[in-house]
Amino acid sequence: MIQFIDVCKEYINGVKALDEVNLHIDKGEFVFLVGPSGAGKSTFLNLLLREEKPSNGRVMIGGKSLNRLKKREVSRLRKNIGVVFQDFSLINTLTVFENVAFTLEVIEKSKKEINERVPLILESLGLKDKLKAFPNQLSGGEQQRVAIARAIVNSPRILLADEPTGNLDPDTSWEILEILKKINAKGTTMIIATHDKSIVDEGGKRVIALEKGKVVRDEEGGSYGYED
Amino acid sequence: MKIRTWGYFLKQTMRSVGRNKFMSLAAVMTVTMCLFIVGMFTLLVVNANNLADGLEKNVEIVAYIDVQVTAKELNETLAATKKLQGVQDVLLIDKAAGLEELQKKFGEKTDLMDALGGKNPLPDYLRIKVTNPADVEKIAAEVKSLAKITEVDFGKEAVNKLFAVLDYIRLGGLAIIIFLSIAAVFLVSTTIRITVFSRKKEINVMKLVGASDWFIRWPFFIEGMFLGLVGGLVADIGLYFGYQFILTEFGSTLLFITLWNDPQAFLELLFVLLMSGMLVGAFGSLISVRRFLNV
Repeated sequence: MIQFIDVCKEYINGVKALDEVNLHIDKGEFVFLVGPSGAGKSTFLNLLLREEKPSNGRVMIGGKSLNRLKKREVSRLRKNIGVVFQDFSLINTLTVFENVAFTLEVIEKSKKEINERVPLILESLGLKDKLKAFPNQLSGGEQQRVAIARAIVNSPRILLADEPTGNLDPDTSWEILEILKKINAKGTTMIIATHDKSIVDEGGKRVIALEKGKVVRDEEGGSYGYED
Repeated sequence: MKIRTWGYFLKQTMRSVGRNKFMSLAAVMTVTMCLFIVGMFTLLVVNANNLADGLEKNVEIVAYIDVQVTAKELNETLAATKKLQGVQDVLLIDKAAGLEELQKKFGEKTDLMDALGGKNPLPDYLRIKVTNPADVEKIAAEVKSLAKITEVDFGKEAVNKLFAVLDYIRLGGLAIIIFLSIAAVFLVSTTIRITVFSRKKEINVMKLVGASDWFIRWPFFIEGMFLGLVGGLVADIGLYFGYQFILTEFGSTLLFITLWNDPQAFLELLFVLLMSGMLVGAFGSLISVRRFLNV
């Protein structure tokens, strides 16, 4: 489903964020992307979202190269990819419900559909009582669950997470990981960039390790493999 | 775009105008000032054109006669003038009549003769109507060459002077209008930029979940147009009542000038100004959104 073919990304300042990356991620896979800061994890995710273009090589999703997408096609691509961030990126002036509904509003779903799907998703993530709360009234774990709800409410085929547990304590991190696994079990391809050794070792999933822009390790059921 | 989406856009606009009251007010006021001055200059130019038209239509030549002329010489000059080609009518206004006319302008209260020391200093003069206004310059020259004529004066000169003044007004007005338009666009775009900044996170989320470029742009676009429209409306109201005031106050008291009074054309002018306000606003918002969204 996702393919990187000879992907290089070099920035204007000469930094090589990705260097000849070749890999293949199947539909429904669960992948941890690990590596030290500056190894190219964020660039990897940005290329998939088409926030950046590779300077060389091709990124393919569903057999289609992202290099030459028109603006309209970029919109369509992003509707099929959910994203979760370390800082949650919730809009503080909107309630939990509105934050999740926002995703559907901007892609012009009907009011009826929004009113049906948003509560359902939030309930499945254990946020039934928080619909009218504002993000800063919630704990970190709850906020991240809202962010996940926002990312999956549109049933994307791929979910990207950039340090989803970076701001959370170990118990909450584990809880978030369980949620992500559940979502993955329903068929969503999951790519998680992380520094969090415990969730990688616990996860028992495929681990791709990046270092200085190169893939240095790619193993099924791998471990984090770095000493913090 | 769906109808419901437009509702959402309008809500966003109102929210951000409410949040940045001060900046919005500043932007509206700049647009208002700009359009008000544009309107004022337009009215000034229209009135001057109107005046020039009127003057040109009834140009007549005034020929002053030497003060020390004798009655016989005066009659000869009058006859010679009447014989000139293209002259339609000649009217002699002698010293006494001239003074009377002047007295009328000063009103009954002052005795002009008394003030002048009992001696009438005015010359006799001829009022010459021509058949074709285009010939007025040529005929004036011919009249001037006649005996005992000291000076000729004709409307065309006044008209030419008026046009020269008009050109300055137009030029000055244009400079002010351009300057103020730039200021208005700049202020609108600054206001919108603040809105863009305050909603940066929202915009990022919108981009990531696949909102179209125009979906992101529209609320800012509407905000800019709204600010421009309000500015235009205030300017229009000011111009409308201002000009009505001038018309009722001075319309009948200005002796030589008939003010331009064409209600339909006036409303058209106001409408054009309103649309210009919207355009300025839209342009201002487009600049800031383009630079800061990069969508």
